Amino acid sequence: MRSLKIISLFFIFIVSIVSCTKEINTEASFKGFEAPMNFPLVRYNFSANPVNKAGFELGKKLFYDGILSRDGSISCGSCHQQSAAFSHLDHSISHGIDDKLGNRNAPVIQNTAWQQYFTWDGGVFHLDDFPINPITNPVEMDEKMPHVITKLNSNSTYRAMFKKAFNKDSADYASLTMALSQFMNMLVSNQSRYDAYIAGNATALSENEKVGMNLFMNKCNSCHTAPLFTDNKFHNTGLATGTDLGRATVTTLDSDLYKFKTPTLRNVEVSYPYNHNGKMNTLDAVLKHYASDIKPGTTVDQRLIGGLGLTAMEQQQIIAFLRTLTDTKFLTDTRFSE
Amino acid sequence: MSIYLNLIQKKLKIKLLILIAILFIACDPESAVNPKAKTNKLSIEFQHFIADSLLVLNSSTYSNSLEQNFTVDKFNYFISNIILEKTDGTTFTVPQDSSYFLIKTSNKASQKITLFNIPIGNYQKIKFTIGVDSARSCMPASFRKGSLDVGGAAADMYWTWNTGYIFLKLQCMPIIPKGGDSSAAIPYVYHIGGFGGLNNPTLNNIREVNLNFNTTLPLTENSTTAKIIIKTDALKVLEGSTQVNLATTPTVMLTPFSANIANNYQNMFSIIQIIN
Repeated sequence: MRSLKIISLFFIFIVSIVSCTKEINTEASFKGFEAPMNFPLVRYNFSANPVNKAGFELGKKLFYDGILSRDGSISCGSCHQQSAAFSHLDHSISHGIDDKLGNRNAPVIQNTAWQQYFTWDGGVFHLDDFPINPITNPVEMDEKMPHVITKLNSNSTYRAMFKKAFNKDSADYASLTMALSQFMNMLVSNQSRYDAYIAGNATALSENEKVGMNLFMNKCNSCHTAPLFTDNKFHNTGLATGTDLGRATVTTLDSDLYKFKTPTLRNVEVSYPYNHNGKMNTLDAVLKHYASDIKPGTTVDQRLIGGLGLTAMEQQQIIAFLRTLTDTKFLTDTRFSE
Repeated sequence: MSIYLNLIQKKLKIKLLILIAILFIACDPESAVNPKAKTNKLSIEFQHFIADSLLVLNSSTYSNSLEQNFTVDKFNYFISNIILEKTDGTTFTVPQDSSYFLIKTSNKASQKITLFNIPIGNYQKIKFTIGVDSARSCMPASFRKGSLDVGGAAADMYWTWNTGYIFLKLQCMPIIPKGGDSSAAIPYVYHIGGFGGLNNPTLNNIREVNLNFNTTLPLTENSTTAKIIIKTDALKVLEGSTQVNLATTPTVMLTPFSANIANNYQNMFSIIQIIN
């Protein structure tokens, strides 16, 4: 009995050495998730799903694969394009399967690790539980989750990738979404000209852009709070109300009527059109709205009532600053490209 | 390089410790279990009714107190966090990881659940939750497996757009009079969920059920048939403190009114029989 134990231990000892060495070699070139120094603490629980190379690569493959949709025609990447900070460029609302139209503007995907809520009304509070929304939505990918799992498990490439990433013999919902989260959490945008300026490069911004930045910090930053340019909260910004009840859809509270999540403004220049309904095509239109076109309503944010009182010149200065949030490195980073 | 070596050493130490522990347990199975804690299994069977008639999907016609006639095409619900109470008042809580069950009328096997490793003793009460508690609802998907797997068993008992489980689904169809226009038939759809919200309190439709056996269930080491048979009366979803009028309230999902339905179905369970 005793000798059996010793033999088993020795065997396991050898296996452990082999597995550890291998692990370090393959991980060496992959940096994994790195939080920028000036960002707040992440909200995503990485201890439950740390980013590793195999998981990231699986997540990326899934993100760009129509296999997640009913007829193979729509992938996540169809409506979340890298050049638009993973939003749907020039589409007020997106067209999904069979060219059906959705009812909200596809938001950007970046800095997800710091995001508390997902979708415009915040109905989803964990990144892992986001992808099931477009996958099962009849006007987006129109697929059933158990069928997605079956399709993935009948594909030998995917089975091997799930095995490598999660050491599971078959795919399941949890590992599917964890892989997608690993890919999305790697989409960190923090290399804009604004970031260079904050890091100490005083000439990264022009004088006009600096004036715009000061105006922004006074007028906009309380909701679009730097460095993430969102407060992760919900506000009614005095848009014309429609049938979309916003946050109240989720909470059923009248006090949440027509409130929508504050979107980040990073890469805002390339992620038009704007607002939950995508009805504003230009930053000029957005600034004009905040300056003087706030519609009254019981849940409209108090800070916006009467408008922000920005002159035409000030509006242009703020827009000049917003353009400094464009992160070209991120938008062209081949690690994230299809 | 030395960092890597350190890391290897640390990892090895931890792995070795775990492996040694596993080996010891594996080689000496008896020492790992307290010999005093004798346990056995216990079954719970849910039998579905509409009032006093057995519930048969898509065929039998039933009627409510308002004499509205309907057939039932779906009746599913979650049971979780089971607690058993002994005659001395002490309780045994079924370990949470094995205490979530999705009961479906369409799946006979799902109506009979087996609880393992229940301490032997004399039991007199059972307590459980209808729905999925907020703590579990907020956990990442890797902690929501089995009956909670939204890529499997729970695929149609989950709100994607407002993260959370649908605790109970009752779907019925009206009876169309002969010669009537069946295409105009509006289904009656009751999907009840809402665990109370992540941060700010929102609709909370989690309900607890307490059932007194009115007898003693002696669970012994030798029991092979110990079973609690529970009647689930689906009609009580629509009746009770709030009478739901099928014609005027044909659909209830995540609205404040859903709390009335949750209050109704909190009383849909009763004990049919306790078998030793």
